Amino acid sequence: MIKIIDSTLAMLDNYLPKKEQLLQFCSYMKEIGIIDLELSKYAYKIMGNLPSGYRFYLRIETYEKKSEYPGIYRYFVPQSDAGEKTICEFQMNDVKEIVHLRSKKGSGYIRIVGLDDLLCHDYALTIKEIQKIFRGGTVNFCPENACHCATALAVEWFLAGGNEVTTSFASCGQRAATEEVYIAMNIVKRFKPNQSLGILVQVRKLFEEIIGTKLPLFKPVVGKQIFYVESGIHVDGILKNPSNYEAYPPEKVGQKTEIVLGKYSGRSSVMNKCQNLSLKLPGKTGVLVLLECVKELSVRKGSSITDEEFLVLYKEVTALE
Amino acid sequence: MNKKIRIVDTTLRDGEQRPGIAMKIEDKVKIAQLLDECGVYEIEAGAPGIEGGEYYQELRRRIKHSKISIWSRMSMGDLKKAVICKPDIIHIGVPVSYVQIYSKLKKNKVWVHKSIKECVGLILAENIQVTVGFEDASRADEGFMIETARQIKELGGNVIRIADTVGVLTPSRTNHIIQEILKKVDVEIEFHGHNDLGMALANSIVGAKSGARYIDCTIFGVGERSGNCDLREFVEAAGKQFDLGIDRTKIPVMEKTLEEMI
Repeated sequence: MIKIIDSTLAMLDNYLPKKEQLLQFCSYMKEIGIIDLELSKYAYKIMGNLPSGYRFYLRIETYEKKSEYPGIYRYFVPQSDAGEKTICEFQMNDVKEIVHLRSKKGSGYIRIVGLDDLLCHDYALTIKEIQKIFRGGTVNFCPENACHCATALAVEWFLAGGNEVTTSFASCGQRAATEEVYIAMNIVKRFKPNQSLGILVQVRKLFEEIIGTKLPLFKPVVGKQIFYVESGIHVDGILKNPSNYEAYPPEKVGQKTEIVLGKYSGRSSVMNKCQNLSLKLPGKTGVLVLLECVKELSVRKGSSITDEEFLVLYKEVTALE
Repeated sequence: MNKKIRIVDTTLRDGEQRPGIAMKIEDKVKIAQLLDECGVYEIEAGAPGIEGGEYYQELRRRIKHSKISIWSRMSMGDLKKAVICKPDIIHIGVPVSYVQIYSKLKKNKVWVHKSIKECVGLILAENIQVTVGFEDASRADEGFMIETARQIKELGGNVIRIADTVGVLTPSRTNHIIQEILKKVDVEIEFHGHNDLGMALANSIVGAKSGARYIDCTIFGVGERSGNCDLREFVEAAGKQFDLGIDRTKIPVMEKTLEEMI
């Protein structure tokens, strides 16, 4: 059994999220199947009475501060011997620091944060070594993302037999992206195979509302345009069978395939567009002429072409037939 | 001395396939020049039928060091168009997963091997270097890939591109596939990652560590769906371990130039 602790709500303090937004985020996470959520002190304060049905985590400086934050399931305490309801946290900035962990052998529940560049080293051996040191206990791995490899490290941790990771939505706060780890495990290890992740689109919108900026259009899993397809070869393949070029159905993450017309389009795209716009299909030559017009216009304007632009081209070409 | 890794930049082919990007010939030539100055080993400049011969003529005139390659489907018609453009390298995309061979192409494995023989033969007869891409290698049968790699080697090909076409590889699986092929066949491996699960960079690093000699990148990681391995990120992450031959001071200018074009 694997467990993902999502730490998004511990990373948003700079954006001053509202109580309703935080509660909505919790609710979305639950719908996805994640009930382990790390909070910041700010989020804890704003939320007031914590909603039921979740396991909340909070990072505190010392074990004694625990009593100031009731209702928390577990407390992350830096470098401290784990007491009741605590998870001892170690920041590892370099793979060489792993040796220091040996003295902590026997700790019950720990979290290792950092190891951004682990993938550039012998990551498999290091992961094995950590798991060996803490055999019998629980290790939560929280890789950081300065080298853009946190998702891969979290996934490798699971694949090597680890049970827990800490992530955050869209890698906010430089952690592995919750949605990427989740879908990767879903594909590779059939983790929660029947779970619908359609709500991710709503999570993205809520997240964008909180941070006041849009996520990149091509961000893995949640980007608005990741299922847009233009290349003739890919469109043809997807029309025959979506799994030819899509690793998972877009609907699984609340999105859909969009066929876009442009410089790389092929005949299939043009025919598909005519069909979608309920236009009579031109003859074989007409389709080829229309395709050339699409490509030419796309290069001239430096982007894809719109349905309106396609309609104008269609009228021009079919008028000659 | 660090192991040498050759960077293959495919911004002008796979990168441009991202919906919404459509570059003019003069812009593509400009980017190619910047890639050349940056130290990229090979520039995958396009595919047959997308740009005409004058584009490749212009590239040959302006590019001083990088090799120019063209990506082509495994189709004699397309390859003949590619040959006319006189690139240094022609890359043939060969589907190797059963979903691509049987479901997309409605062909079989025998057809794949027969076509490879014809296509590789055509290119080598023109004295053009050939590389063969295993399309959808991440979902392919390893035995079939090894068998196909052996055939390519016998035909005179030497570079096999492992393409994670739908972007589902993990670092450990990347390592496994590359090692298995290298153990059985004496070829050079090129790795082509996609970022659908946010692991293109990680897979490329592990690909290089596992024995790949060529790593495919694009500027900003532009490409189909969630894109490819980001050139700058790869150089930053792997530059200490490998000799990439890249002048990293030239990357910001290149990024700025592309940003203004797309």
